[in-house]
Amino acid sequence: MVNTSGQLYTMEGLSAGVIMILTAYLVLGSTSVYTPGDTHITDMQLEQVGADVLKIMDTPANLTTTSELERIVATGNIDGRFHQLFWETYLMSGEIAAQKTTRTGSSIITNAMVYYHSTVDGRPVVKGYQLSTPVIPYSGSEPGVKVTRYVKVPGRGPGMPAEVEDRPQIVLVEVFLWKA
Amino acid sequence: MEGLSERMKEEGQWIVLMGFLVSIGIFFLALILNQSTIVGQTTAEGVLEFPKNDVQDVRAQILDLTRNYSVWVNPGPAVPDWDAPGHHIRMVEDIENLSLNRKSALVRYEIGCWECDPPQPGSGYRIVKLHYNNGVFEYDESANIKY
Repeated sequence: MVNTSGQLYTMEGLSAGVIMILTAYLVLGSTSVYTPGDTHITDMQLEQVGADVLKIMDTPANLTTTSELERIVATGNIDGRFHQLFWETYLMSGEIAAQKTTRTGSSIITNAMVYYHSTVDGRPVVKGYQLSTPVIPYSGSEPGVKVTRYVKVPGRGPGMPAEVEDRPQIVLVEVFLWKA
Repeated sequence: MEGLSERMKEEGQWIVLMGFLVSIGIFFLALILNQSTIVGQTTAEGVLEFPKNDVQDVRAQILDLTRNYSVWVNPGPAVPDWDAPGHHIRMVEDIENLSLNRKSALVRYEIGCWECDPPQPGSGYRIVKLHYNNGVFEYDESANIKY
């Protein structure tokens, strides 16, 4: 005859064990996905604010004038105008930018490229050139986002390579943003 | 069962029951913690994946080109230098090529004319079909634009 006096303890022990294992599984699983979720959220914010800044720069002051971004692409990035507008005026708030004495104090660095489409020997090619050089070169390891904007230019401007066709055309301004 | 409960001591049963309730509470707290981080990640990924700014940009540029620049040989609303025949189509080609090469998104564009043969300013509508596909998200639009 088997002695049944310990059966309740056995069942308690089993159920408690199952609950503890499930809890430990959930707790360990939840901590491991925290880091990737976090970086995605900041990437999203940086991408949205960068796209908004480009949109503001590409909005003309009135119906008869061209936008700041169109002017910068068409006439070249004179006196670091792109960085001045994109970073100091719009990306950082005016108060923060006014307190900075040097531009190297920035935590978000921008690098802007312009891509154009032209026809060489009957084939369409897409090439790019640098519009604004970054204050700190990109190391390749910082997480960054890319925002773009199509810009209309009336022809080949002074800062553009000779391969750009001299006609009204649309170029793509790509800005790479990263935190340093 | 009579004999079993008589043989077990019963003073500890409340403690066991409380331990059981607390462990269930911890279980649900862990479940909430687990879900909350995944919610933040999936939301951010969903927003990053949806090409809102791209579609808005392409759409604005193409509709603006259609509205303001001459498509046919006779001049539309006059914009000096920009309005030479063919420039409009080449600018749309710029968008299509740049989009495919730099952003891995297919953009296609068709234009038709309604009640405007021969096309005269103020006489009809331009019908624009716009197609955008980046492999994850697809967008199609037909728009009528007063000529």
